[in-house]
Amino acid sequence: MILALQSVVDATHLQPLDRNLLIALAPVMILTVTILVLLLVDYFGRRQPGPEGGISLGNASGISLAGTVLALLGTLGTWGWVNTNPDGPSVGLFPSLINAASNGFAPSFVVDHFFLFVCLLVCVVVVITILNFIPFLKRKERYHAELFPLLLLSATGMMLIAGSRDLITTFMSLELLSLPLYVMCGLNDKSRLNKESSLKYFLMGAFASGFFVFGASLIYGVAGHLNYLAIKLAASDAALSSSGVNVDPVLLIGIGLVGVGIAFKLGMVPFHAWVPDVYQGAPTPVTAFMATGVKVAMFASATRIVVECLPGLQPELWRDALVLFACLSMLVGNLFALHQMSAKRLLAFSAIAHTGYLALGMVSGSPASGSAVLFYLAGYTLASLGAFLLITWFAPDGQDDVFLDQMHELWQKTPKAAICLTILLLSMGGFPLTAGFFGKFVVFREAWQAGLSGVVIFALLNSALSFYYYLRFVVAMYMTPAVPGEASLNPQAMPGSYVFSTVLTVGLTIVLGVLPQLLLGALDLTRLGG
Amino acid sequence: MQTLLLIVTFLPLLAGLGLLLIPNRGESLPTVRATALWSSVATFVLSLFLLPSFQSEAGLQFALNVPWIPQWGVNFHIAVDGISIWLVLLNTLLFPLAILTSFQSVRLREKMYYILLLLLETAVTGVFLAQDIILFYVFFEATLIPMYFLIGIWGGAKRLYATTKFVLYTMVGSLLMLGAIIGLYVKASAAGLNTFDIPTLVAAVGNGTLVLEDQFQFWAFLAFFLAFAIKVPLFPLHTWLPDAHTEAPTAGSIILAGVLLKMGTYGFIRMAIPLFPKAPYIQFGPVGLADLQSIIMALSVVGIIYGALVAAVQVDVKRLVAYSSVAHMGFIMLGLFSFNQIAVDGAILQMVNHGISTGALFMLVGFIYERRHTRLIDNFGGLAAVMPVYYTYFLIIMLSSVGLPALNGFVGEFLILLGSFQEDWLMTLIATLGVILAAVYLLFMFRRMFFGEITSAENRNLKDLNMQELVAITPLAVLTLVIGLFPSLMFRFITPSSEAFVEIATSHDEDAFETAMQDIHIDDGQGGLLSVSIPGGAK
Repeated sequence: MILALQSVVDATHLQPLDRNLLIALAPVMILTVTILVLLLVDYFGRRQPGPEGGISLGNASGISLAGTVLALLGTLGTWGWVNTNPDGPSVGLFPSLINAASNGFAPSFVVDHFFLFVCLLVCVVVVITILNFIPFLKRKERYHAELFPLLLLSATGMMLIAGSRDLITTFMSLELLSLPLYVMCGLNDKSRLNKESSLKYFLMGAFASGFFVFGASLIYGVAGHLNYLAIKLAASDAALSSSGVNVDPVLLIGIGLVGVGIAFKLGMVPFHAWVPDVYQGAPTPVTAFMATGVKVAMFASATRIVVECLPGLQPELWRDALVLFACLSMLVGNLFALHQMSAKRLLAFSAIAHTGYLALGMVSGSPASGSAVLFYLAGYTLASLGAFLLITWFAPDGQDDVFLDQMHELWQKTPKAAICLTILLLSMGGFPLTAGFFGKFVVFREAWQAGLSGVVIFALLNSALSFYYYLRFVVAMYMTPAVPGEASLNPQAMPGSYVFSTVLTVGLTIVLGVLPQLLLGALDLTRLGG
Repeated sequence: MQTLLLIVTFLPLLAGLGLLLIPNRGESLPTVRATALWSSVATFVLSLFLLPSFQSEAGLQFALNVPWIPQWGVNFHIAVDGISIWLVLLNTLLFPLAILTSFQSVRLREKMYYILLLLLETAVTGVFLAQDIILFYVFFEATLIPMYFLIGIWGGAKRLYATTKFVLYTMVGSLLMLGAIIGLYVKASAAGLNTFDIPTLVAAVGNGTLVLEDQFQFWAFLAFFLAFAIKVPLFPLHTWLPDAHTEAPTAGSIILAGVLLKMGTYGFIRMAIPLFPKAPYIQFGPVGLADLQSIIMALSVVGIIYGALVAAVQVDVKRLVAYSSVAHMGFIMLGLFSFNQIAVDGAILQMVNHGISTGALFMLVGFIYERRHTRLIDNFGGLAAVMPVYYTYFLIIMLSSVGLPALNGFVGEFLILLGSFQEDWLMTLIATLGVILAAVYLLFMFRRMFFGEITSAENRNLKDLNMQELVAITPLAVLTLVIGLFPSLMFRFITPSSEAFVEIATSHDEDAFETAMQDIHIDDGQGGLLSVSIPGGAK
């Protein structure tokens, strides 16, 4: 793969620096080219004017799938290439001057294994989302030609934010991943729920960006730069100059506001109010994409900020707040999920709870916390994607959601799908022999090592609580007899793309639950640099 | 022998996966049943082959230890000792019998039912064999899902309530235990021990390589205690049990009472006490009022009396047996936590005894439920005349549960009381009241069901036990006699292992030196008389 990439790049006769750039950013580049191809095919291949005349669903999804798979292979190639890098396993790009006196440069974007692992996850998410979209669009929604470019654009943002080491780059990536999603939420312009979801998401996203930018500007005022390294130095300097107690409050407020912006995007309590409405209102494949892709990207970025900006600060200044928000997220998410009837809404609240568990993974701020968070994200992503996919398939015509009381006796109708959904939900709950168990294990170990044993116990009790609502699916599917005359689901034969995605997600969930070491080797490389 | 251990563990799982391949049609039903039955019978027969080459003095043996997750030091480590070998045998015995009784009682979605039972068998065997904390935890949790479905799909009218309660109770306990496991792992890795291996960790705690400060020991033990005490169940954590038992299908009840509860008491022996040996003695409260050992013993005694009293007023015979389980498990906990050699021996034997007699009681209750579809004691009466064979079996099993000499229940309970008397005479005295109460409620129930006039016309034409039922119940009835008469057959294996346990458990006991070394001699002579001599005498 490296060789193939190398030969392609050789053919372009670029200068060494640019060549490295192309290889280093291969996943992003490939996705970007795919978007351009899609748009060009759409433009030149128009059969007729108007929204219907563009690129056909088959072509668009085919090109996007091919592009994403190429990006996935490109990621693997870059993974190997980074290993061969003479200056250590991370390649800094776009350096900027952060200290004029000592002529010190710091990269504002870094290609390391952490970034590449996130790219890998995003590629998997995109592949399954496309596979989810094809039957969904055929069955339910009007297809718009701009859907797939938007999807890939958002994915590009998700990748970029994981490698960015500068608040400006982070902000650009954040907007790149968010804006297409606002549009995708409103996929069906006839559906009021879609419109509501889109508008809410947009307004909340705008707020989040506002907080983020305002925080960044305050940080700039103190640190004189937006590079993570510069922020870290500014925070440490301030701590040193005043005997480690007082940090410039403006810097703290700035970091806090950036944190609030990210917390909005993550859906952490108390900035979570939009999550259930947006998740429930959006078309289910978009919900799946949001629940997984955005979470992966934002957590990757948040972990990088915590590990690379905050070590200079005293832990008490930020850890207590983070832990408090994490605990609130678990508690509120789990409590509200208990009695939801809508599957999508239930999973939305469970996503809030998962945000809480995940946040515990990064509170230690240690280099290894990146690996812990990524492991959890991998397990959560697989389970979430699979569960939303099955819900998309279960949903009857004219309804883009499934209610728990419609699922009665579903086990008799589609035993395999019911068992798959059960496994995915158990993984979300953190049951042994699924990826979710080891995800919880590593994340809670990180928190325990940071001395937060009480918080870990709280989180574990919350997981016990979460089993109540995950098992409500099981109760509905297996144990409750259907009442005659009651509206119940009658899923059609499962399309091939759903079979593939379900087998992939469930299979990987079990494989990672039995043999987590398959991922541990790779994850050992994703330790974040200080 | 390692291979044999592996086969005994995973044969049921393989058979269960094999069942998945059989098409879900009516005509394949006999194949499904035969596969389930014969694979579990084969497992039992294979597990019997463990006995001849077992060396009673060797401690853990037949060990199979391969790395599972090397990065974290998790190993797939299974082995048996003199305690777990009997629990494994009990488990492999009860499953074929439970499957056999299900042929009559389960008529719905049978394939899934037998698959779940076989999965459960593998999980329970795994719990008794696991020598690695994570492996133990995985098996421990894995027992939950099959049981959840067994109660939830094939259970009685209030099954959803019962099964959800069962799962949530157990889940809270085991997740707290997971917290303690994570904490222990963090401490062990800090001490350079990147391992979850139970014997390694126990040895490290014993010889001071791994220092666990008192506070950590106390809280970690408490977390393990909650997980296992919920499983046992110890008063006041028992409330899930009567519901789960009452709603479970007969096979579910047999397995639940027979082996699943033993996972709790076994967990104390294997992990909770050896890993945190000081915890039971740590004084706490404002002026060091109490330690966990005496609190747990007190709770056991309360459970004995409470379980017996509540059992006495039950109108549903299955619920009565369920509450009697609470009382009987209280005896086991009392014996275990007296940390006295005789009592611990008795407790371990009683774990097997309780599995046999309570499992058999649930089976018998299931038989009559199949015929009459009621379990209310008032609906019966005079059954002795209608069903003489059933009556005989019920009598034997009931007397074994009461603790009649020459039957197995007596040996266990007697040794427990004898041993714990030396630790705490007052509690033992109260516990002895529980033995009397057990006789009262069981005999009272027996009289109302089997003697007197036949009050209900429907009972006149009840058929006696058929061949299938006889095959299922006879092994258990025979075992109550065999163990009652020749308990030393089992003690030969149990005692060396339990001595090791008692040694670890009392290593932090300040009174340990005062207590003289005690020997136990059990005469397995012709008369079946049991004599216990204590040369050292009571303290």
